[in-house]
Amino acid sequence: MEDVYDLVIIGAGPAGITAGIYAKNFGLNCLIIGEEIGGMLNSAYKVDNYPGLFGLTGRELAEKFMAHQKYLQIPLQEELVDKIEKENQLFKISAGTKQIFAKCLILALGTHPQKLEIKNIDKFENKGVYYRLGSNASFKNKTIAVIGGANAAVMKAVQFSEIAKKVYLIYRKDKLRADKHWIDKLMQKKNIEVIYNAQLSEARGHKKLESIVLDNGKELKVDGLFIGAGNVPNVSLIQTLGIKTNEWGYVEVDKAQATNIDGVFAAGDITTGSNGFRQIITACSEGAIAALGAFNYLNKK
Amino acid sequence: MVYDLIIIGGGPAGITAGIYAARKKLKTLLITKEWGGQITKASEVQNWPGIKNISGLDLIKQMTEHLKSYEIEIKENREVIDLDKKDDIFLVRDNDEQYRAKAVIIASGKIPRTLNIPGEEKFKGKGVSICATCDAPLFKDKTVAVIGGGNVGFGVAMDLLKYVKKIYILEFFEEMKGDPLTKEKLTQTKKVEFITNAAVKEIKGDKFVKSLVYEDRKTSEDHEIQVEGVFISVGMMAKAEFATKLVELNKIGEIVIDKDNYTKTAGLFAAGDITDIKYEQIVIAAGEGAKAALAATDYLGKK
Repeated sequence: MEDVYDLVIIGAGPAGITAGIYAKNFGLNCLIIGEEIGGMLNSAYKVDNYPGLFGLTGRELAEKFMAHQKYLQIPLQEELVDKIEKENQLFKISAGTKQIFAKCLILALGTHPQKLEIKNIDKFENKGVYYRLGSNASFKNKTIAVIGGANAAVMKAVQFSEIAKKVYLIYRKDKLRADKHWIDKLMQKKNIEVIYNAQLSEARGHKKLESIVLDNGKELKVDGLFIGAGNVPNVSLIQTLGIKTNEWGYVEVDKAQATNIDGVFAAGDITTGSNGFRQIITACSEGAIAALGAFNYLNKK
Repeated sequence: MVYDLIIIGGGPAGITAGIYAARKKLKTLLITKEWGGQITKASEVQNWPGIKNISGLDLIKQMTEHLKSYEIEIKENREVIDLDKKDDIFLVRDNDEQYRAKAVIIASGKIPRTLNIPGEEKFKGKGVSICATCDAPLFKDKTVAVIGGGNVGFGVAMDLLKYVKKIYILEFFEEMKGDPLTKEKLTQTKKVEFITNAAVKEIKGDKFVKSLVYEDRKTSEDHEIQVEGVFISVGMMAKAEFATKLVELNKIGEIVIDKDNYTKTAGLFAAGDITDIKYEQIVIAAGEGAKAALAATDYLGKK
């Protein structure tokens, strides 16, 4: 029979890695499996609110998490999980040709950026239209539009303004909802123009994005479009398990990060925990609590 | 002057709350007796995600450096002795001054529990210690007692092993409560003697500690053992009496909060080890601090 782990943690962002650190320290036979170490953290421009480690890019902080995982020799497989099922008394995780079995699970799958349903937008994805910024996207002296008004969007606008010629920040409401810290930074940038009360209605171009049209009919010539329209939980994999989610799709957890299914815990951005604040530090905290929950669960069995 | 927010406590929960509040540009004051508290006594921290291995003291240094990189007012070496609320404004009093704020976060953690026996206070720093990491080298080749047979006491014994000649571990109950694996490790060193059912009665000495008296709870007989050091590790306690007018305390003196860090008083939040959450971990305390600061921001925004 294939390997049976005490605990398999699905997701390798801050919540998953922290759960792994705790599980390892408890002596559990555990495995972290996730598509990308660091997860969404990798696309953060700057992380300044993770206590004790500040002034790093998201990627640099993710590398520190990775180094910690390696240092503690926590088994990790960078792989996309295809399927999670309950089989007899175990959970069966299929990833490619592999099958992995676990006595209990921590779901730390995080979220992904909300896609917009706008005319032509799919056509230009990664050809001028971006939901997450890859390192190879160079916008030096170009014109960029950023959609959104929360921290991620405002941060991106500030980040682009340092290299781009011109940045438009387009928000559907009349007041940005990012932290004052970032709004203050934004206001200092002369090459950022904020357009309030506007939404995107169309993307135009030939081979790649050339311009965008707003719902007020205005057309803006842009070389790139970054969309920060919020995130949605990655729950498609877990529906087969019968995990209870709230109306927005987030996994409902109790104080011990337990879900409604015996032996399944959840941590990080995918959950309804931490008052919905979804911070790196709260994801870590939830990961630690979930690992403690898993440890207690295994001891009771 | 009225602050937006006063944070009481300078451990991981208070510092993280401070970082978040400062980034939200709240007019914030942080009052603390010391930085770090309990965690500064940890010789090794391996479970702060992103930092492989660091001493508790250095971790707290990094966190306070982070905090101080923002605009935040700080009062160190102050102990809050009273907290009240009048006309929607909180009144926070320490030994010297009174401060006013629209919202308050209590994150003052726990303090070491004391035995309340003769000699404990008298010999503090003269053989009686609550910090093995700080004081272990002072007991080179000496015989010491560790009071408390839980994981903390075991950890203290592990820290002492390198230096001392012999360690007695005294436990009040019938069995050692600490992790059996660690107990096995300690046993194998042949330096450790475990004494159960021991009610410690007195610490004796002249200038420094010379012996310890305990009662065997089974036979009711008193025993005196010759030791030059006594490490007290009988756990921690919450000290939240200053806030009793505004919060509910549970049986063991912890502040009762809901899952989003609200206490029973509007505008008053609590985070970390002083609360009734079950977990006492650095990363969890920090997460709680962030939650409390964001909840306070929400509260202030709605006012």
